[in-house]
Amino acid sequence: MSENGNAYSERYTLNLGPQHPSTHGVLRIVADFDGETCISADPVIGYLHRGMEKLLESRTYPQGLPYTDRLDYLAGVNNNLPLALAVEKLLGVEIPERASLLRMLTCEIMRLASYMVGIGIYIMDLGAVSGVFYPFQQREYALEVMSALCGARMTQGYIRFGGVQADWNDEAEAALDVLYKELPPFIEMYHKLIDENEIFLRRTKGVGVITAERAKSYALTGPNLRASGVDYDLRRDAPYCLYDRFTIKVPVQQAGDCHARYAQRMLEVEEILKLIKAIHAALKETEPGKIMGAVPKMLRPPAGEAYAQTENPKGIMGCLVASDGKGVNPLRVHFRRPSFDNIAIFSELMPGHKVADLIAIIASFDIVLGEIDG
Amino acid sequence: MFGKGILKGLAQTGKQVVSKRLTEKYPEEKPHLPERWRGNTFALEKDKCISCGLCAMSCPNKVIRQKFDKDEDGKKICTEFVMERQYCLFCGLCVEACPKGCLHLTHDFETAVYSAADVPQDLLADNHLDAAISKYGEKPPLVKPVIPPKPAAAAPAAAKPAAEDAKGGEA
Amino acid sequence: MEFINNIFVNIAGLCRAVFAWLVGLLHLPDVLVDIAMVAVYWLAIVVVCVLCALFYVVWERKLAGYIQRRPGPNRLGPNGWLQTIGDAIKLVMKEDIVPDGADKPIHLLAALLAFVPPMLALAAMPFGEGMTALDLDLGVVYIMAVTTLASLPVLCAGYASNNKYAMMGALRVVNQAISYEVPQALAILSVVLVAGTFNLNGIIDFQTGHVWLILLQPVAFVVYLISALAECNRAPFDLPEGESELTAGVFTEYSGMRYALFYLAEYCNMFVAAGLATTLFLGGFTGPFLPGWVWFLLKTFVIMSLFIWVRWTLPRIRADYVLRFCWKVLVPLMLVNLLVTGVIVYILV
Repeated sequence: MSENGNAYSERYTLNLGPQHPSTHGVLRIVADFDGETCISADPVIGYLHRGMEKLLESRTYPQGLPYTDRLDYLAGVNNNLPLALAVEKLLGVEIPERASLLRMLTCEIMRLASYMVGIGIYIMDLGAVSGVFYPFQQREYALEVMSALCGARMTQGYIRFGGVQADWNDEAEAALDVLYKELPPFIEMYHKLIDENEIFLRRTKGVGVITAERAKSYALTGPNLRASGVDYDLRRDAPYCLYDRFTIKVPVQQAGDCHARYAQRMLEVEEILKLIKAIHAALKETEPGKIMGAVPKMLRPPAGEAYAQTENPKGIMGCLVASDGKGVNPLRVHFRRPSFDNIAIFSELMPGHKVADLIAIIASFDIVLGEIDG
Repeated sequence: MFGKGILKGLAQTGKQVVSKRLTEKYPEEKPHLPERWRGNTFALEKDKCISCGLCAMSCPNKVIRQKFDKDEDGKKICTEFVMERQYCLFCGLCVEACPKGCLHLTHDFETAVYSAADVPQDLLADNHLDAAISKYGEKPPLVKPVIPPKPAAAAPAAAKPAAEDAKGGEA
Repeated sequence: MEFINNIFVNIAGLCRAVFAWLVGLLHLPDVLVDIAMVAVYWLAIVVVCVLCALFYVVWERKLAGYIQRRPGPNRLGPNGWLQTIGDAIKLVMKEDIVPDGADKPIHLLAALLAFVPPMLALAAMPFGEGMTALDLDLGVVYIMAVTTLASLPVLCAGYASNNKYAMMGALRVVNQAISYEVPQALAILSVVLVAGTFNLNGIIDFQTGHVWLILLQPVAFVVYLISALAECNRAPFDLPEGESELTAGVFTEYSGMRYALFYLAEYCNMFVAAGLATTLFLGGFTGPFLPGWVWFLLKTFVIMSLFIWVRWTLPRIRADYVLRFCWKVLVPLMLVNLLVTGVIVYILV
């Protein structure tokens, strides 16, 4: 008999990735298997390492901003925000209301886009390939808004220190209307397509269960934490920008398994749509044009350290910026990258599951390798 | 009943078969580009350029290769202005940095070339103004920038006049 | 009308006459005519195999496209219908890589062998009236036997590739194929019990005389389709290939034309399964107005489209649930179905 109680079979090591269709890029998992059952799993990272923090340290503050888009490249704007907030803390500038609202609006739109990818790829990794196309279409509508607003679809670099790069315009308004129109029917359709599917339920229910206790001790954040029954969302519990102005309903799932992580994202999508509408309405009431605070052309923040964190689609993104007060480059930049912290639990979560479950677990975490490897 | 969810899912995908196809048939149908859309080439209004070098300074990746000289009146002129697009992030910081608003991104996106040598764009030889110009970086009415007491160490010569020009341009 | 209906039968008759004339002319033994006719039948089956594979590969991609709200392949040929030919040409020109440490003869042979089972099965398939190459009295048993062989080349491919993904895929294909053989056989047996014959043409005759067997055996029909999906390694039972788990499963180490052969053989296997479903449950080639072979192709087309539709909708089942579903749901269900059928047939006949 082997460790897991099966008849004796030979243990072997399977190298999942970095070239593998469902490791979401270049995650590598070195796993030991007994038959189809995983005995141990070890995530290996670093295949997409670009030295993001060092890049930022070698450039001036504004020059560093476009690079942060490449961390979680599915939600570019959301990565700009913690860096911008941290530097603004150092500078002590005040952000115009409209700029703050635009930041929130774009962040929510990109959060939606990122969730759409997360859900779609999850379903595709479970084998239902068509399931990826419908959310991607919705993501397309979201990206159209960004494209109209700041000219780029994915790596927007929209946020600037002190404000945002461009003001809201009619094209973005029209694109957002399309999103309003298309998203609710999609959500309804997707629920019908996936929610009751017996195969999907079998594949996900009870797979990769994380208790609230384990989730907290592994510092999971974002939807993965909330799917384990921990009611924590920075936007509500430690608001930044102007999130304190809006009532944010945070859905929570109790099961903590792969299915809960899917259901959590689907529920959050609806909340995001409501929030987008609320922010959009608030944006319309502000005066156009005031999108930049009083920021000097050459940024040289006073000496000190600042840390800012935001609720990103993958979890809590934090950014620490240290300035020596003399140079135009930051002395040190460090990112707390949520996907990186989230995958730490893989080694504990995966043993005992089948090969197919490993894929379901990876997919349900909605990781982005740009962020993990930095 | 077991299988009900599966049938429901089949009904949903079946419905998609008869609904409208969403694909843009690209080479025949050109995509609709928003006016601020950032393309992959640059255009330069040479006569408006004041050779300040701010664009090159703002670039995170040192994409812009510039050389300056004095003409017979002692005015600073640009003798080389090459966009080494192979390194470009298309972040648009250079376009935004331009105090005169004479550097533009275009709506070009079909920029495949046969040789790597064709990728850099010599903006003095071909200013590329015939392309559709993106409205990216058109300045919104800014709050008056606070000029730091000392010009930056990295750009002692260019920063100050440029900042003044920026004020003038926005007025 | 009658002419179109019998066009292939007449061509075969013409061939036979020509051969007989040639044999008579050259004073050769008469058995050569039969041997030559076997070659003709074999050629016809190869043509059917290749044509249906070429057609259904494009149709699958088109239908998948429609399901995903995109047009599918639409470049090569009229509306993209020549896409498979283009792909095949591309794949032929690619390098044929045999991995280091692979069992070379088996690795190379497996791709060729993949075409054998569907071709053997098609030999007994009634395409139209008088259009059965081998009208066997035990046609049903014969087809069941040879379709089981279809998992063998896949096993060879996985075993010989010297790759862990491929090996896992190979192991999966074996336990899946063996398991689903049972409910499939039981489903077919229910049909045979009602029709009272193992001969495929006999089953069609029974359906012409009474009603389509799908009305008498709806449960068996559904179970047959499910087992056929599993036998053909089609989604949601595509575990041996399992793209998102095992990269390409058993086919991971195959490239170029050998991969294409597996790919085309998969469609031939599906065509056989769909053809058998047509024959057993949907009245075979019978139907009003149109020629028999057109009816056969139409009905198989419907079943194939159903297979494709299912594939592009459902997630993949996990390996252990595949077996659990087979032995704990399908097999008991089919045994009950068989019992009920048997009792009713015993009472009525």
